[in-house]
Amino acid sequence: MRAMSQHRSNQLAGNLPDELSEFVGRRAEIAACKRALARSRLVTLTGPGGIGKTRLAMRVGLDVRRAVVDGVWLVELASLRDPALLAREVARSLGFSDRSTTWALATLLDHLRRRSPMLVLDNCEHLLDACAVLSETVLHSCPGVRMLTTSREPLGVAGEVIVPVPTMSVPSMDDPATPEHLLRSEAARLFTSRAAGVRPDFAVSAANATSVAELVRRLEGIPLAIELAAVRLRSLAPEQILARLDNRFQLLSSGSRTAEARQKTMHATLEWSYALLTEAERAMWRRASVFADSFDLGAAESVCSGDGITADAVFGLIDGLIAKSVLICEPEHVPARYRMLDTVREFGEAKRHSVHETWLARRHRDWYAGIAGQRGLGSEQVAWFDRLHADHANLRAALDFCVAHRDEANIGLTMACDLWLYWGSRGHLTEGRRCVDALLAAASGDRPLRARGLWVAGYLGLIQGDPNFAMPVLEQALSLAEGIDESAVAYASQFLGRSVWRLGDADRGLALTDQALASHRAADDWEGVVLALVQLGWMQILSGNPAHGRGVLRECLQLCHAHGERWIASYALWVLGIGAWLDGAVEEAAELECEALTLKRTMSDEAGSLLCIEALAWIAVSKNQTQRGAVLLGAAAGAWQSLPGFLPQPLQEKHAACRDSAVQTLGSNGFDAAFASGRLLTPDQATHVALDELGESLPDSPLRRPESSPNKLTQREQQIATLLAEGMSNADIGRTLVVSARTAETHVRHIMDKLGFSTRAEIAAWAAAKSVDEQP
Amino acid sequence: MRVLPDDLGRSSVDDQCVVKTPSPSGSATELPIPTSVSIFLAERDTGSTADVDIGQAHQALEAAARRVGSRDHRVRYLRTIYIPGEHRCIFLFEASDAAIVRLVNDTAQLPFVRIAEAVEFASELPAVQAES
Repeated sequence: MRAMSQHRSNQLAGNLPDELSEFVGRRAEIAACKRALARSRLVTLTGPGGIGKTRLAMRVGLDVRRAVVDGVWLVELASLRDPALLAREVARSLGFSDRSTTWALATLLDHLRRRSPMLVLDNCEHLLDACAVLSETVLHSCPGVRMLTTSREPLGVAGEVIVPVPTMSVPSMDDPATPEHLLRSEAARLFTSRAAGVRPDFAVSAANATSVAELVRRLEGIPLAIELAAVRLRSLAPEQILARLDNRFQLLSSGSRTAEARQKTMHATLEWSYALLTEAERAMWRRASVFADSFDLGAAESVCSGDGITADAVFGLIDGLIAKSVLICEPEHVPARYRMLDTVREFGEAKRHSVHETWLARRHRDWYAGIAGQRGLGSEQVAWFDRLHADHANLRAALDFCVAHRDEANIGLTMACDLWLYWGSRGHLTEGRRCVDALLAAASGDRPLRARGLWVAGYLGLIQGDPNFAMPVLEQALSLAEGIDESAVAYASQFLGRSVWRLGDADRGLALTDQALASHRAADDWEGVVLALVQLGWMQILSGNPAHGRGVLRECLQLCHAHGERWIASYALWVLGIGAWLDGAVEEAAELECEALTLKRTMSDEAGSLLCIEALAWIAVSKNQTQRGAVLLGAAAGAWQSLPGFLPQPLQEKHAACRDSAVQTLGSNGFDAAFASGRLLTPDQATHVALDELGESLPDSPLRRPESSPNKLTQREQQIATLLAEGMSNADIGRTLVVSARTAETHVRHIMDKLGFSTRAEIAAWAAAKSVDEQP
Repeated sequence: MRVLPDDLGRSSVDDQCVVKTPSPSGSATELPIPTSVSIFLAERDTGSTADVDIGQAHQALEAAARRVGSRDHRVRYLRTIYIPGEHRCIFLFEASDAAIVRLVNDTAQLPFVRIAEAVEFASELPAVQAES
């Protein structure tokens, strides 16, 4: 997913997924939603499950995204249960990582304050209070942000406009049952569209119109119910589907239009759909509902087989459930992934007998625990991280199960510890810490496991920039592990060494790291050895012992190459580069940093890439390429804010010295201009510039003011100038761009100021002339 | 080791009614609705958090306490004390128990707070008057 920071001027920014099926009808609801967005910055779509809230929200998002300056961003909350992680989940959807202990909501506000995106928060009902607090705070502090939420009930925030999502229109009993009249109703059009997916030759005709009309009326125009019925046309005629709707529908369809009645209809449709399945398919539905979010075939075969279903039979059952719209296939992933809509999953959960609940949850946990335990460092590490990322919702659900059931806590703690590298590498530090903390509280008895949990907790706190938390925890781990678990002693010593070194006790830090290295070697743990070597090299170089540091890091690189390990190798190269720079070997330093950055780019190591870009900035200033250095400093500063993250404390004085030198050379204005242009770079662009892949071309400074050039207007202002040329009023412009008329007026004033005009007519004439000039 | 939920402060409890509080796992845990409340403080290192963010945290906690308190939980957010020189914040609550205080902090998305029951003594002396 591309970060918001990468789309500072891109109208099609955002992360809305493509629609997998035709979007039918809902013109009135779309219009109502857009009108609501024009007058309120928080709009909530409400309605029961299956009514189409998510689909409608995404459709509105797609419709308005060209008018939203900083893009439309979808945040899917269905699998999130911990309210404390909400702000971080929003940040992750915008492309930030979770790498520090800073208050996530504050970091989010800082980023959004200068931007004008639309956030779509989907499925807020189970996190209602947290969503309400987040919405209030964001809207209060970030004037450019709009929010569209979906929920089964309103958030209850001041200024919220609620748009209830009704059922689709159905044919009236008074209308003639002809195809022409029938297809005026949204429900019938939806039925026809979905029917075409299973029977391309299906069409509403005089022969079947009455049945189709009655079918959609019986289903009360509920979209999910209609989709579940339409797929049955693969093997049944509409008349036959109608005949099979059982007595439950006769009791329900009394014409009542209350929400409760619709929920009962939805439930009855699911019951009906369930009853039409084979026993094996029903079992598959029940069992597959244990998955949070999407899952792959391997997971399904492991978790859902047994007790009457063989692993070989699972694929056929999945295929059958896809055909009946119980499961959705996501073929763009390799391997393909499957998922259920929330309403369908909840139905499957409710169908499980309580005696099977724990059995299934354990199988689910065991599968994902197995994946967690598969890898550490090595040639497959990045692929493993990618897989864990795809399965994150299920990992979370499995760990939540272990937290909630005390007798499962030990297995959960093992699993959480197995993920220790993943939590940090993919920006889930807060979640990892909370999970390990909760499992440490719940786990019992196993002293080596507790020691491991403590050093992992300390490690996560340390790399999140909380050494005051990490140190006592690591001391405790060390004390607990001594004499019983040499591996835990080694890792606890290593990270305790890093903590104390960070807090100023270099001698003790080095001694502990040396001790850890010796323990890892004795245990033949090459992963521990490379981690300790890179840490030792870092400490040695920054403690003024560069020769020893270089030797240690070269050994680290050799070992990494022998095992195909790239992540640690890239850090070893980075430290070697800093060492060379400190020694005055700037050319060698540049080569090493470029090699490190090239490697990090292949692994999506965002924080690591920034460290290299920062180092290349210092190298550039040292080589009297001061302009380039200032641009790279700006790029790094902008990107640190987006992560969020921080330059390690020992390097901060190097950064300050580099900056001071650049200011002295370029002057304040010159430095500011170059720095500002660097801040506008996306992380990808910054990497290209740092690797000198763009030659001599650097982005123009935004502080230069070209004389009477249309480029000095912002993109929004250019849009408005074009609309003025079409004769639109401020109110018309506001409706078109989903802003208030007053905002449009403000933009018009800015345009006048920038172009030196005094009337709207002058702007219109200028825009029209510009449009003619630009025609081929 | 940090203060964990099981180690947190005491509260006096009547077992007359039961209220459900979501745990991080999403499952509800049942808590009795007590008749008395205590003072709790939640402490957090702020690192390099700017002053303006402390103000926003204050507002978020107010909103979170209001919402959590409206659901039959006994909790009231009192004030925030920020110590800039030490990068520390202390959030004061009146609540029935520490779990509710933790829930309010989680709802405001302020994790990693250390929560402890406290005793407050208020002075009966009049406020200092500014010299005119």
